[in-house]
Amino acid sequence: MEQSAAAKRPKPSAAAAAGEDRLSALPDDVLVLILLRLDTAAAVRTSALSRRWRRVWALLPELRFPTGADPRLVASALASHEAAISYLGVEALDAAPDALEACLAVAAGRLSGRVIFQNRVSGGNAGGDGKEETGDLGSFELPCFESATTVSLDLGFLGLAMPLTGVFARLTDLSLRSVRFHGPCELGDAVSSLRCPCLQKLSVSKARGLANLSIHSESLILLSLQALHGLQQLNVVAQALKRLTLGCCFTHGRPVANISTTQLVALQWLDSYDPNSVQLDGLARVKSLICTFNVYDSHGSWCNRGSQQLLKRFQALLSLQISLFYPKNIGSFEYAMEELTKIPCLTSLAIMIRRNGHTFGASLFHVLRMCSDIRNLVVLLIDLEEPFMCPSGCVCGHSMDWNTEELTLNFLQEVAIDMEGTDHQVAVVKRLFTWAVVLKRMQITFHPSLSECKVRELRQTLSSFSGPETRVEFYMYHTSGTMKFDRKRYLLGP
Amino acid sequence: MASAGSGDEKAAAAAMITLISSDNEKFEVTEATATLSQTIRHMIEDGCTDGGVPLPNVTSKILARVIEYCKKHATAAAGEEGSSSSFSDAAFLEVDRAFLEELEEFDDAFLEVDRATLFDLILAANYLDIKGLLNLTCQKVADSVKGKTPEQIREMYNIVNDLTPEEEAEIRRETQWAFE
Repeated sequence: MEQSAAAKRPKPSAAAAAGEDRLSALPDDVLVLILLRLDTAAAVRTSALSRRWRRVWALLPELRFPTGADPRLVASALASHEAAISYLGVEALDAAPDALEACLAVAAGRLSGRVIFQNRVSGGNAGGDGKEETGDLGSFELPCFESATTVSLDLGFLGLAMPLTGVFARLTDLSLRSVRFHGPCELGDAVSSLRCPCLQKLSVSKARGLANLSIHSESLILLSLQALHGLQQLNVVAQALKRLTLGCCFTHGRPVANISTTQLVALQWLDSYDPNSVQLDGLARVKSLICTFNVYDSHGSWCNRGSQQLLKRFQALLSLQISLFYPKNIGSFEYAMEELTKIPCLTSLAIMIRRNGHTFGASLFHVLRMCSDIRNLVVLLIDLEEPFMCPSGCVCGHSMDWNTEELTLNFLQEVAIDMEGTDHQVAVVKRLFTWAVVLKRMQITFHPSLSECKVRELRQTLSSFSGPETRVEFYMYHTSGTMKFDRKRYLLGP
Repeated sequence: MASAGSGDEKAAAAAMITLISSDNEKFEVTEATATLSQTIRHMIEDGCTDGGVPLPNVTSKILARVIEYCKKHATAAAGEEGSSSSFSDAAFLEVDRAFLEELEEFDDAFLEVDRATLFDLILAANYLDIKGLLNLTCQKVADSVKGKTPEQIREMYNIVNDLTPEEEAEIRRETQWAFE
């Protein structure tokens, strides 16, 4: 408002203050604070204001280049920048490897904090089904980031060679995604303690060219390896490791892994497991396990057998998260839940049901029957793709034991469950109220696609199942569309 | 009871700080309010606030506004400490949200000042090292130049372009990507 007043004021006759340039008179550090609130391009444009402003942008500790910025321009901007960089964000489009190499080489010398570097390719970085392997996009060598603390690269399947020499002396966090690895330096050598002495978090996903990965780290706390296509052998010696995730790496052939830890508390194993070829040591402290199970599968498939063998390695766990996967067309698959015969002693159980439109009462019941000691239960319905309607008369509804057989969950106090409003889901909730004889709290979260009217009707029905000793709370997910993992919800008023 | 009461009063009195503006006006504020300023917090820690804290860079007009800001935000900080951070407790979330909204409204109203006052507040916040106020006021300036060309920014803030045409052309060339 005062802007228009100032503009209206006739300039020559205005008070001295009106003509004063108070902005340029601010100290550098305050101007930097102001420029940090603009996008980096807008901050750089202020260099054309006056001599005072020419170098102010060069003092910015954080640089976020606009999407599609040419890495060559980023490199020249970095070359004329003066301050230490605590954050560098670059989102390139179809970048050439040599341009990326030049850009990262300049950045490596200046960076004291985090670099987040993404190269989007027209084909898309997201695809994980091998489609992206069309053609060689070229490759480059990663410079050694001697003083960066976090390096996160998503390369759109450009080739990458790790540097043969140099120590990533301050690096604590390394994330590599959509990368085709090239020799001669092995990734494992580059990230092991000799060259990454402080590395605590390592995440490698959607990678090609890693047949052998061998990591020896004394500092590593978190290791996540997902979709390393073509991985044949994995060796990990990491005594400080607390969290390990392995997923979709050994998709072809037998898993060969030798993992040695002593501090591990959380294990996420979404891969094939074979106790004859997978040496997994030091599980004594594991408190939480995430694994997956196919509700329908071809007879004797490795997936379910592996999960069951892994589960059998634990006597007791604090929490288990198990994904139950339903195929879209059950067709020729067989009901496979019978292969799941033992679950460790648990306090908390989370079941993620990727139901693909099918009814899930039978599989849920099968799991709960083996978990009579749980105190908390979470049931999430996950649809990663568009909702799929299971055909009428589908075999998923044939087994009705969950609706007739008795089950007593003597310790179950808290339940949280998703609700999309089908009769089947309502019936499952009704059964849960019957099974959980000491239930204190039931949280029901509605799918955002449900109409207000339907929610009102469901609330009435669902509340009627509960006794006075149970507090029933209703929530609603925030976002519509497909149900994702990191969903936010809010409490519905009475 | 009486002695306990006087003890409380003493504690309350001890927690008051006197701030003295450049034009020699005195402001009594609680320690909780004053310590939103890191500069004053350090002075208190060093025990050099007896007899008041002289602030030779801040006029009474601006100091009054700064104190208004600190009072409001000191209450907010106390509220945050008091409330549980448990996300499962919806009642607390509801209260927090209402309070945050109120605070946001306060901040918006607080920024309804002329440009000279805005710059005075920035300088005061910088000198007193009041992070929230500095962020708030810098954001206001940043918002005012967002989407503006250099010419528009110069006009808005009376910035004299002392670059030679050659220099300006060179800068434009070097930073062309930022103008695209």
